[in-house]
Amino acid sequence: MNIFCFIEDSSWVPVFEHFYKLLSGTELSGLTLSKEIAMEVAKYFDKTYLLNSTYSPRIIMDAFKYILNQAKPQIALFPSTNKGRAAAGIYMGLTGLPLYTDVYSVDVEGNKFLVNRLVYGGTASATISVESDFALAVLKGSYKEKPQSRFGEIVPLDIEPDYTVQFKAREVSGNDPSSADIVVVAGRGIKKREDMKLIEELAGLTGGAWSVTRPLAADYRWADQWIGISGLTVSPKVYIAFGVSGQPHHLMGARGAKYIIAVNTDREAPIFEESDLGIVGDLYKVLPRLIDKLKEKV
Amino acid sequence: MKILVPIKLSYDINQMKYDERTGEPILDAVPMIMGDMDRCAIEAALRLKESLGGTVEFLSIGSRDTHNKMMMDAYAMGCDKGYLIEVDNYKELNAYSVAYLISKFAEKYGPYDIIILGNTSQDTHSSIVPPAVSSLLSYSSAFGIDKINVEDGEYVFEATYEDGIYVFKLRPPMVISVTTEANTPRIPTLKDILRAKRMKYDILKPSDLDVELELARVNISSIKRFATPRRGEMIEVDSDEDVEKAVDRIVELLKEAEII
Repeated sequence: MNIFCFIEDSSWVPVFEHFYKLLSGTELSGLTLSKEIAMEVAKYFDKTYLLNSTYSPRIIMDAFKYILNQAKPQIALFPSTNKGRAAAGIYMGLTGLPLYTDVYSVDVEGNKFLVNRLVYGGTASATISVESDFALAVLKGSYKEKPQSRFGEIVPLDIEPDYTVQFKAREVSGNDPSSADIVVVAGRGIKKREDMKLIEELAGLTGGAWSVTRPLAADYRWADQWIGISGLTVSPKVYIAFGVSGQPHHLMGARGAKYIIAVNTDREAPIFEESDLGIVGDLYKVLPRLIDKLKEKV
Repeated sequence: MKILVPIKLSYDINQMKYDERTGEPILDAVPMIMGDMDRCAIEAALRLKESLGGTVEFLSIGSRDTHNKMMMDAYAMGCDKGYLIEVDNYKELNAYSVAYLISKFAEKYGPYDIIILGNTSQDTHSSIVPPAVSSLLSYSSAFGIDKINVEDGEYVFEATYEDGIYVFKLRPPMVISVTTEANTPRIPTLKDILRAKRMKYDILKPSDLDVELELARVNISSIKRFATPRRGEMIEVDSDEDVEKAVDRIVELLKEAEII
């Protein structure tokens, strides 16, 4: 199987390596949009196509047309991210191949692949039987295996960069829920913006990051990102939620956590069904006491 | 300006029900609705029409029995004309077949200046049909749009992705997809709803669109409730003693996870 990947950034290398092995890959190629990423990932790919341009659908379409002209990959892999899904959809339109997103594992059964993907807001898993050729947008699990060194060539693509698109990188604030070991999450049970200080303080004391649910970010503007299907998907060791009810769209971004702890006054809150430790009570009593207790230890 | 909004009838995932014994979804008991982002796509189209003139048409793929209410909803919001492509067992169509039917429709009934879709459907949330439509039609495109501005015939779209904010400047013809951040969809009045009930939509078959290839379907071998096993330990907090107990358990778990 020759496998082609859209490499959004180098953090996807172990993920693609994991699926490459599951799919019995024999040759690994990829497309990147920056020289920096290409230099880094080329160590692990047989061939790395480089298109030095800011991301845009137009650029992706041009690059795929070029690559498909050179060699038809049997399987294409994409990140299940915003840009990854768009790239995957463009690829599907160009090739007509079946494509499934939110894939977390693949089983081999004879000459068929059984693709496991999340559906219905992450509340269900569907197993879909596919034969070659196909495309998958995969979820970022935490795969520890070291990628195989391949030291392939970098192939620069002679395609005009897209000058019409503007990109403003997210400010690096030091608060990165995507890579933290513990994420402290505020939901609508947090009554005032000032109270976010408690959430941030707990994140600081535990060396983790903080985040919010969608209403706090999109409606109240207390943060510029949130956890959930339309926001971030995180997989920390501990996800601890204060005043989060646990709507399906939110939990989809949190289920990757090893432990889920929830504090909520509503006994019936859906989050308790998916918690390792559920505390039915007032977060304004539990959270300050937890902060004090951790301070005593420090 | 001619705008097309393809919409999907989706399961309302906030009301998912599962068989306790088998873990399989009881889909007959789950209501089907127009997705939130599809509503935002219609709203975005109506606002463009209101400021620039033109018509807003909508399209869905399915059956009269199940889709009628959603088609009326789209009319009640203010769309001008609706189309339904009738396909047996439409729920099994794969994403490529859906994108292919939409692109064939747009070729035959267009050309459309703008095709606006919801960024993701309520139930499968793949976000892959809009980009596939754009590459099938070779139109300019931008996806997951939170903000729309029109400046001197140039459309400026802003989207927030994992790494930051992207601003795309495009000219028609184009395919775009919008998120729920793009707008707040209007709520039809009773008068709108009554007016919509008198509206008719055109019904087509895939053969009317010169679709020759066999529509590919998803071969699902099983579908089950997905749940990571959790401990489910619960502590009820009423007194100060309970607070201590709860905090102690949290601290223990943080130690176990090697956080502290």
